[in-house]
Amino acid sequence: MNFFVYPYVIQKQILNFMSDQDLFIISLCSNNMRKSVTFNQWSRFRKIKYVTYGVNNHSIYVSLDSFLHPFLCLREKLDNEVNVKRAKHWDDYFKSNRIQKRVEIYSEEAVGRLKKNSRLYQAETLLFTGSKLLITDILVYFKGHQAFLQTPECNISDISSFLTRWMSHNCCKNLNLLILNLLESSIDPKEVMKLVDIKKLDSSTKTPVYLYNNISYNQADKVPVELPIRTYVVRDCDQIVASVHIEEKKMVLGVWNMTEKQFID
Amino acid sequence: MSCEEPTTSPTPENNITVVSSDGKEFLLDLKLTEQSETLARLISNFEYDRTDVKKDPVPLGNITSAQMQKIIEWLQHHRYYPKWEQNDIHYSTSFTFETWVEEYLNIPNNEMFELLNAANYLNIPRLFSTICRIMASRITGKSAEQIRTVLNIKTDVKNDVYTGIPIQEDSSSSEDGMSEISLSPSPPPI
Repeated sequence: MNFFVYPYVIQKQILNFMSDQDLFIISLCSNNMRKSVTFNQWSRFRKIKYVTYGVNNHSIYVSLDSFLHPFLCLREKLDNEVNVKRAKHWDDYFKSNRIQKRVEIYSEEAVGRLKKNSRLYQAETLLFTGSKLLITDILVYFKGHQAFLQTPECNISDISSFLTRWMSHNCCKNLNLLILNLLESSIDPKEVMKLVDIKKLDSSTKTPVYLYNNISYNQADKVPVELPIRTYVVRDCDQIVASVHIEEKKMVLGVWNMTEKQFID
Repeated sequence: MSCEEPTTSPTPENNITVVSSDGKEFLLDLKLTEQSETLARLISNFEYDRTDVKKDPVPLGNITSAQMQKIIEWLQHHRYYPKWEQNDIHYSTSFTFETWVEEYLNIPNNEMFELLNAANYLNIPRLFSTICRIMASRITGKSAEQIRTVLNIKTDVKNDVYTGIPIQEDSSSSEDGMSEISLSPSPPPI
């Protein structure tokens, strides 16, 4: 006998009595089951604003409303624990979901690479901590508006390539704000300036203050930040300006909605 | 909750006969049939609660004699229970089952599903709801692969979401058999 041969009312009642974490796991059993869970339990899922994933020793944790309230704790075999650290897993997950408004991933041990057309790149806001390889891919393929990236190390050439691609409108075309944090290595701003045409406002011009909302894994940290920056780059095709701030372990790129002429004036 | 069960033997005036799909007749006290909305409505429509009305046997084509026996056992146990009211329709960590219920439903999964079907057919909400809750509790804490086995779900996903490796269909699950898993009355702590 198969679960699906039973009347709808039976299927629905069994699903009603399941916890959220069991519903999530049962939805992984088959496409039919996923559709059934989505259809039957729609009212329950509608209440969920966003879902946060995290990998711990033996479990994947998924929490509701970003913190405090544990929503899902997937108990999986140890074998699977390694596999959820594969980038491909995220690819598969996001492929079957709508474009996300905000995605947070923290996985320093993640292996593999994302596909070029991964839906992860389409998230409006992306918070990602991962390997250098994954971060450099994001710097090439990201299509969203805001990215907060952390990685143990990143080469000067990676940063200069990113800035050059942005200036020639070859990547991150929708980007408003990028914050890149280096956890173990550091960047020399002078070295980057040798490789990229980063301009600097002359001393007669008032220092512009780039204003942005801090992006952080902790939603409570959502505070406005004022960043006075005199260095900037210009996008060739439309002369749009982006302030660039590079310090030892951090790079901020904030795109202004104005051309270089307007910016200087 | 427990209730005393005074022994009453059905008499022709206060009972009806139901016939299972395999032709076995069961004498049912009208008091017991109140728990089944299907039978209660049938009795009301045919006025079988009146002593001057001839009571024809009621055929229950979807229910076997074994299932009927089991259902009568349930009805008798809950004979003096208050009318069932479904208050808690969702998952609850604090829900516990009576020892009697756990023993009563300590049966193989396929029998449990057949009983669930019968409870649905006869519209016995207390039994229906209890079995559904027990089925849900049996799934608690299981991995996707274990749930596939329990509910005999054939995967229609070509590749495993984690590994990308093609999933082999479980050839051991037969059409009429569901694998057994242990009963876990309360979900494991998160």
